[in-house]
Amino acid sequence: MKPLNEMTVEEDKTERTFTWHAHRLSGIIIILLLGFHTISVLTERGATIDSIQSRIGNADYIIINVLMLLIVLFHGLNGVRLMAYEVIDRIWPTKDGITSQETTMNLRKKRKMKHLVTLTLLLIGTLLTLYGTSFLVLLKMKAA
Amino acid sequence: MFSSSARMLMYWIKLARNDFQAHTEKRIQQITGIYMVLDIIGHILNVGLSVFLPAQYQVNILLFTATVLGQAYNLLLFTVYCLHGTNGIGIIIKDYGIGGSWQQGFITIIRIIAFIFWMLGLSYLLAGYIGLGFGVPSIV
Repeated sequence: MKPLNEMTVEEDKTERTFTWHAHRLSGIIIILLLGFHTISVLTERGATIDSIQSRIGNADYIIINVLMLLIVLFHGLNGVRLMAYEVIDRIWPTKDGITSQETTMNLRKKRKMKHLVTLTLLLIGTLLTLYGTSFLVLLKMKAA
Repeated sequence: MFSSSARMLMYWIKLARNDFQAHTEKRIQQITGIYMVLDIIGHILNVGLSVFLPAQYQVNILLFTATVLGQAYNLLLFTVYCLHGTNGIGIIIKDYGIGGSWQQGFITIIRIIAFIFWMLGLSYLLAGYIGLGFGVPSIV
């Protein structure tokens, strides 16, 4: 990895490339999954506690929901990460009009903050995935 | 509920006519995104509560969705999700340059389709509200 003072603003931004593509792909998948989900909920007539419980007890329903949970959490938390990165870039700018020493300091601060944000969001995402998945499985067991 | 629906309708028309600048599109995406993340986290936490708390908790949630406030909340959620998805597709198309010279027309068609989808959802919610016998699932 290059030393911080040799790292340009453009290079700093290229870190996003993979997640940007994954973010867009996950967005398209969510549109399809949520579209089907909305249509199925809207066309359901006379929902009862029993009908909801039998739906929860269906294995396919659980698999699709766990899949949706993972994709939605990735998409949502990655979106929050990108927004946080934008805020960090504004707080510690590394563009024109500042000395190279300030740039190095800002890049260091930025990198630390971005790591902190990414780790925090990863932790939140992991906890929510474990929480959501375990309770979906528990719900299925309860319904069965 | 109706005035906010009218405001949302104006928003959709502006979106379909491509009246928004790129930074506004990005801002719409961010605001709706934050709202959705909070809703999804709440939704996940709610599933956990449904396991621990007695069945009455689920019944209360179902009863809440049948109220005017519950339906207004559903409409707001539905609009936010539709806006985020439609706007997101537009941004992806623009970024990848899909469609060449037909790009803008393609985006407008997708926005019109999304608008129709949103109108269908709105009609379902309003039909349930007025009591036409279909629309928002009734509680038996």
